[in-house]
Amino acid sequence: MPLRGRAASGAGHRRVAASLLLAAGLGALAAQAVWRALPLPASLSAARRFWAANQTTRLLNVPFFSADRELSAAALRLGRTLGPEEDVLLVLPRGAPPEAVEESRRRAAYLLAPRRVAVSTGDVPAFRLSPVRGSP
Amino acid sequence: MTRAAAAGLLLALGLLSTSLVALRRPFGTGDFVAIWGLKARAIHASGSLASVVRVDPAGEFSHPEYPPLWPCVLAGAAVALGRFDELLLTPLWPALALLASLAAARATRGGPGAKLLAGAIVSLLPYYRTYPGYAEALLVLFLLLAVGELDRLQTERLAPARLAAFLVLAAWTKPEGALAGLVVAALLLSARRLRPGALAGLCVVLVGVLPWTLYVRSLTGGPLPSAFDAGAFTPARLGAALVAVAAGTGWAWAGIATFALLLALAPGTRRLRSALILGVALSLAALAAAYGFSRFDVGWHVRWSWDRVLFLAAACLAPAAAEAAAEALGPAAEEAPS
Repeated sequence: MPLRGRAASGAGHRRVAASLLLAAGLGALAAQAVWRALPLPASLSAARRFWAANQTTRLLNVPFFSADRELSAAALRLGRTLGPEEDVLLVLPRGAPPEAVEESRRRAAYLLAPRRVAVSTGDVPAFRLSPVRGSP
Repeated sequence: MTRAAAAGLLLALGLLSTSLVALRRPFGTGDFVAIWGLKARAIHASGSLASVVRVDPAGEFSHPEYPPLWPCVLAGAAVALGRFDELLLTPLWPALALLASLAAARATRGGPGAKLLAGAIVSLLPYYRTYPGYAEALLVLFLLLAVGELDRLQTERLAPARLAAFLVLAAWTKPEGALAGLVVAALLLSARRLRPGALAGLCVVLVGVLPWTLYVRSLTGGPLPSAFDAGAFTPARLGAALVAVAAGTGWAWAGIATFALLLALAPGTRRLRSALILGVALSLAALAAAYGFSRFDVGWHVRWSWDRVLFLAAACLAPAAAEAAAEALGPAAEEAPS
């Protein structure tokens, strides 16, 4: 094969290989981008519900907070009545698993920021949130 | 359809999907609640940076030692909006994806097809649909802006200053930004680019890292526990970390293989982008090795962070991937001289 023909054939093979690689790579990226937004009606319906709701309802319906709606609602209520300089004590039932304690602490800390939320365990049915006397 | 049009459509798909996923519910997943949003709410409610330490004085879950730029951006946006509302903040997410795509396009050599392809790759990365509200979206914007300056260091007088500024902003966003800044500085110095290398290195350390470290220490009276501890290191732990990293790379191995094969087809890009590829590889190696110093369970630590490290690497390499693709495909019909 003449040199020019061989070079053209090499470039052709390279182009085909690059096209296949690009198609595979971009196809996989595009497929997950579409898949993550599906099902479209459910995504749009969730968006409509959240954008129509008020600020408190929105926050309480975020999955992380709705997983313990009572604690989240109590933290929001306490946050409205407490000065930002007062800290808070969260008491959880004795024997609560460490992961559940950590999640509750994070929920309360987020909703009550900038206050510090200290956590302890005691004889409470589900939880108790109270201002810390003498804080800050 | 031209290559540029196809890449433009993919970019639009990436941004649309990112917008839909981000805007359909308020920010409120893992690290947003534990770290970024918590600090932003604290700063917004108190008006004080010191509040990021007050909410977690022992540094048990919110990493008060992390730099505060992303929480400050969130708090500033909330001030502009008149209240801290996690749903009203979500448009920041597609905006950051768009800006990162534009930065990737700016950092890419070649015609509009290659530039749009780099932007499309960035916007389609799974991170934008997995971690709304996390800090890497801001970090990757600064890193891509810095990548864009590397080509301009010899031709534009202000490029070294811009490079240093973007790396400082990256260091103010996340510790990985400081590491990236130090890697860039080291590579520039080893290539005898003394002025831009020294400027970047000094600025990252003196402006990007030291002020916040000293401020946090002044509030806590000493160092806070970070995710890493020199005392935790053992060779066995490092081995376990590397195994976990290899396993945690998962489907990204396919992306790495695709990138490597594209580079094999594009010798020009391989040569021109060798420093960028080396820098990203060094950063990845340093971060993978750092898990050997983790004070947490190594498998758990890798599982919850390595994919975001890979996102940073993939985004920074997007310009090189787009250039390699353009080179291997040859001139497009619409770009070829008539």
